[in-house]
Amino acid sequence: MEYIYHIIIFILLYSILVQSLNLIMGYAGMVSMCHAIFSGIGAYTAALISIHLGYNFIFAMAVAFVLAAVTGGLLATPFLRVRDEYLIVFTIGFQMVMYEFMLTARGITEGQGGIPGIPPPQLFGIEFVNPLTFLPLVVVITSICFAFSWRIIHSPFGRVLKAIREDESACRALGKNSLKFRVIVFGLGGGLAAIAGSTLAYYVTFVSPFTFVVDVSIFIIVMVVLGGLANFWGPLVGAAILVGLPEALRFIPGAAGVIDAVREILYGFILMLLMLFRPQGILPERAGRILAKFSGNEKPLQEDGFEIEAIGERYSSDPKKSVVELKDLSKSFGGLEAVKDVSLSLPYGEITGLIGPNGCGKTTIFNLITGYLTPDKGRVLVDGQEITNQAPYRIVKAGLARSWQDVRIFNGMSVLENVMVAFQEQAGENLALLFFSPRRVAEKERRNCQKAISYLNLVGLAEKANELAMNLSTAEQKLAAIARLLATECPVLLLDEPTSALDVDSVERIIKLIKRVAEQTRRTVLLVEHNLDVVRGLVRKAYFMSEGKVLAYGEPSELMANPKLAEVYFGID
Amino acid sequence: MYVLISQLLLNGIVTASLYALYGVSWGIIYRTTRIFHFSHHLIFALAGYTAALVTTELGLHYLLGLLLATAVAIALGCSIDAFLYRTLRRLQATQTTTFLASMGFATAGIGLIFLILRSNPRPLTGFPVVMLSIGPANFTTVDLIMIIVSWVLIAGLLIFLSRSRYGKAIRAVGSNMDMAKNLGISSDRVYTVVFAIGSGLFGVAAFLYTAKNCAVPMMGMLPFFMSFTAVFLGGVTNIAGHAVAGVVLGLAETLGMIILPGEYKIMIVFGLLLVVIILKPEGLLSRKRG
Repeated sequence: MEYIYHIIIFILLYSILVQSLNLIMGYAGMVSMCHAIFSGIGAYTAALISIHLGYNFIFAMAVAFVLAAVTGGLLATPFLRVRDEYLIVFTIGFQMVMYEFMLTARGITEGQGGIPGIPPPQLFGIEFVNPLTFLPLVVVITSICFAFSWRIIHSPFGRVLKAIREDESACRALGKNSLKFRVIVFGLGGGLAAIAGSTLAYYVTFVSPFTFVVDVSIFIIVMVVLGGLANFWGPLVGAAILVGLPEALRFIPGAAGVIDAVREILYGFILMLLMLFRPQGILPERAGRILAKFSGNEKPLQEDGFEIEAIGERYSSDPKKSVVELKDLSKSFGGLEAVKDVSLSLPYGEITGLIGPNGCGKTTIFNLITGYLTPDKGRVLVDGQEITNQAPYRIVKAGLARSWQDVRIFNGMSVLENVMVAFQEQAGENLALLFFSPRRVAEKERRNCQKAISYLNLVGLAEKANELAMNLSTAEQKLAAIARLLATECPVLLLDEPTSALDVDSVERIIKLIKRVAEQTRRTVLLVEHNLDVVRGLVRKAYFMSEGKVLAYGEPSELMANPKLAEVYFGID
Repeated sequence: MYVLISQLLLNGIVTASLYALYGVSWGIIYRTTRIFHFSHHLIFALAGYTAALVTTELGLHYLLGLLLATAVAIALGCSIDAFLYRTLRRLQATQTTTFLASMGFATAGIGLIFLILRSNPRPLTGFPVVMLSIGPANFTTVDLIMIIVSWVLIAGLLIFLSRSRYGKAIRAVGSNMDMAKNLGISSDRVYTVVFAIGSGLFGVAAFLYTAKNCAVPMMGMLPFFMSFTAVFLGGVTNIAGHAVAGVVLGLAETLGMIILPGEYKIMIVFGLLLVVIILKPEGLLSRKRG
């Protein structure tokens, strides 16, 4: 019986480790190759505090959590700024460096021999010494860790993590400081792993560096993948199967000696076969159901489904004043001048067009305004405030939001989640509020959900709120992207070809929608568009660009009547 | 102190040459395919074991050992590409999925080596090891051959890449698929060639490593770590940069021992990578674009 308890304890401890990696890998989409090290940090911290200082295990585990969380956050910061592969590089490096440290820093870790004699944890006079008494303690710790993860995953914070995983730059365009979220989740994952590690140390009363080799980090990855990435119960399933399977081998005569090798072979092949045949694991991600309790029984805020707030009035509403001004903006790539001395201004509450032949620099201008590219020269002003060279998420905070030519909807999230993630200043994106002010978070979440449904009503997608975005048609995805853009509640919208690749009916619908948004909410819009009918239907005045320069400004019909411009536009000789 | 420094300098040159070879062997694969080819370390181990087993157990000549080790490395590298990576490409797997599959394969492979051969070290026999010295610094023929072979292979690779038709196709794939097609070479073919080259180079390195040390199951891990660190340190697209970064790593690791104990080797390497990534994220030798 003791043996069964022992196995259950191991399964539970591993499930904490796996859940902590699930936060990082499943929800936020980052690979960590050093998860064993985080649990090692926890184990050594708990061991040293208990042996040398004699403090209670709860205090020791809290210290372990904080230490590993800070380490994780610090480790992630420099690498997340560069491309994703670097995270693999650095976490493998960190794994090797820290393992070496555990082996050699005899003054702290006592080297290869490890640290024996960790006193058993005590609480209310009970000493947790054998599997029988230890099991309830592990059950409690596991439950706390799982509840903690549940709260994070099913919160606005967790929603942002998923958006980052789906498309990081689109997420930044919604005003999210994605780096901050990624660093925090890396830290939290590390901290939870340390809880598992310290509990393990108390259970076996001994810490050795060999418990935290790279193979263990890999095993944890196999478990999370087998259970199912981004599924809350996946870690339990993954840990149960992969801890249990090698244990079963012990009952086969003669197999005990080769158990480590067999485990490696088994885990390796399982990982490879999963990637080939079932990357989603045993329990696939359950997307979109999270908010089901809200939708359907909630009424949208207004009869016609759209809450009419004059969002544009955030800025001084002088109709003659321009809300956005570009002054002498230039950008070149290598020798090619993509944008040259472009100055333009967007009058308050109006839709301004930006037209020109392919490759004339329109999208580059968008990228320069929204912080995805830094201009070589020139300035961008919003309501008189300079926003040049600011990070994309700050520009959204300043009131400017963009759409993408290639839509960039978050495929693996529901339509409702796609819209809800876009709201600014969400209480539930702040972890302190999430845990200590749940009522405020719930209140705000409820309100945002109503608003999101209103926006979906406006674009005519309310009945698809709980569907996965990847299952929508192209036209529906474009509409969902517009709802998402509106949910940023930015007074200035930059629309990059909102009607490209759509059928006539959908184009008609989107034109009406944009018109209505601009008129009723006094938003200021810059529209890049190829379809001249769309431009004529929406825009009073437009800028005409060619080869990175603004050639003319005027009414669209006037511009197209100009034979010179028509020649440039249609490429007629 | 003079004796110590000249000895370390010599060791540094040997290590640096080997790391340069590691760097280009993984670099040519990564820059062309963008696959985070984790199985590279299994290839190293298998080549090392082949060299050790055929010379010690079968008593074959060491040159035959070299030939077989390289052949095994090439065969394994190309098979992984043909059977595993090509399937994943067909399934349009993400980079992370491919990385994980590769890691699974490597882990299983190392497990098999453990199961069949256990973990006792296997030496390579027959390689002529003669002690030599320059001034106070001692070295062996193995060290000398490591330096010569590494740089001959690296030079050969760079010439091949800049001169031959295949070399041009390799450079084109990864940056410009159409150009590769215009050269009349399919990208699958280019991938095969690249895996053959990268694995072959790593196989030779594994032979030299085993001649100096012994074959053990995890022998490939550190060379693999050095290989991808050199690639990211030097800048992903620049093959010559991978070699230079390998030299920097090797020298830093060895000369670092003047002030730090030997156990800190890997920390020096990691610290170096950290500093470079913070100060110059595109890599030491990459020209900044755009």
